[in-house]
Amino acid sequence: MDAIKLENVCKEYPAFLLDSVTFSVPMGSVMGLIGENGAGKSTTIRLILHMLHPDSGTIQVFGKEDTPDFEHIGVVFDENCFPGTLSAQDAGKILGASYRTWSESAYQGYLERFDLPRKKPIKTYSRGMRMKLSIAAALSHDSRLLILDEPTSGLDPVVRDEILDLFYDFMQDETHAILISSHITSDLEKICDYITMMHKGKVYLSEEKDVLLSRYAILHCDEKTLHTLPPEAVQCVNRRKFEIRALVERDAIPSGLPVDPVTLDELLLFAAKEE
Amino acid sequence: MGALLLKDVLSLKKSILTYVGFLVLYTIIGIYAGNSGFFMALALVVCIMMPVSALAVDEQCHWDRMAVCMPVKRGAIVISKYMLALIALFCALLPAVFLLVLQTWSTLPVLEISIQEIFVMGIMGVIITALQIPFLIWLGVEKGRFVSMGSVFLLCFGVPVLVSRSGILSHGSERFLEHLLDSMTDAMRPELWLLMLAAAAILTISVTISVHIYNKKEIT
Repeated sequence: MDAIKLENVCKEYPAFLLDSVTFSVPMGSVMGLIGENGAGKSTTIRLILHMLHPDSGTIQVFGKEDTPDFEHIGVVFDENCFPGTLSAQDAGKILGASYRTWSESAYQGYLERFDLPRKKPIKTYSRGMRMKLSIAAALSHDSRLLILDEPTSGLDPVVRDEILDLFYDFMQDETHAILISSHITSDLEKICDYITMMHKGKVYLSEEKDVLLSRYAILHCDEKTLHTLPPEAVQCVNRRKFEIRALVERDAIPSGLPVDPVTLDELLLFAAKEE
Repeated sequence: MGALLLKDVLSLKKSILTYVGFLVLYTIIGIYAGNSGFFMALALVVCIMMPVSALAVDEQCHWDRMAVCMPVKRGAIVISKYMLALIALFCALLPAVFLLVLQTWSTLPVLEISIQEIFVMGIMGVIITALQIPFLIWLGVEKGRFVSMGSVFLLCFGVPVLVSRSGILSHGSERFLEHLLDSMTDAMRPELWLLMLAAAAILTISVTISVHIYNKKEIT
């Protein structure tokens, strides 16, 4: 079963169109959502969470189209949404009164693990501490699906690594799934099984990460070589003053051509500068 | 619902303490001045300020994003604001109730206050709450507070003036509100019961409108 399934989801704003977004997050997998600023990642996540209403298309969470069962969904946004005057202890009390499956011992365990002061107002926390608190809250009830909107942005590599470790632990259970959006593609390369790349409100690519990275390569060549390639082999071309870089399908180009492995960052750049 | 109220109370701890301070101060001033208008003013201020403060805190930290992703219905998020305002109103009326009990059961020379007067204060508070919350939910605190203050002004001053000037009532009193209150606080007259029913109806309509607005609202 898919934890999340979107089919032809559209949402129009005066200056932006989310156009026929279709992808799914299988149970037991981590889906990374990447794209440039304004690509539609956060809009997609807010639609999944029923914070926004789609103009058309269907969104299923755990196989149901109606409001998701938030008892089993942990959500982390790019900023902590607790009032700054509250402490971690206060936040625990509020969440404990909201979730039937809230585990105070798990919450206290995360506060301990992250070294978060229990009684200090949240407004005095650093950005990393606030993000850790949000993650502690998302993991302290019976979450089977984590939806994370830029959870590692603005964090130093040490904190990011700690957070990614937690996601690894969470995914030890095969009935769990994660949808994570991030600009930091190196983080996604570490933990994701699938990648959905969005560009200008559309799904540009949605595939298994390993397949994606092994299927494509970057060819550095001149104009003459480029024209000898079969058109279906060339996905995108990025022309610079003295060089042409082409995103190509490895299996579709003649062997012997010098290609470099592609990274998610480069895929993103190719999408953004597509010709 | 309990969790949402708890969040409002914990995040407004300092404001609530300030209101309690005012409550004590106004009680003392009211007793010495022999003027029950102080309690009326306090109840109205609390009714206006409590939901405004709670929603301002929510807006500042984007609490809505968190709240709609918790296992609570959107309607409960809205109703919790009404609950907060009504609980605050009840607490603001407690000193008046206390004085009423004191004057009934002791021979101490305290402010004269009647149960009817307390009812009228409560009804006014309920109507103010009902008038302002839909605007706050619809327009947000920044714009909504001006509309809600305007509606409170209209309720307290505009309507009585309009009614008296337009001659809708046969006696056409220039001091319409005063007469209305006087007539109702004389005894538990039918007008008072009617006003209570009207307040309950306005509150129900207000809650329905606010829940509808919030259900349609897109949380960005």
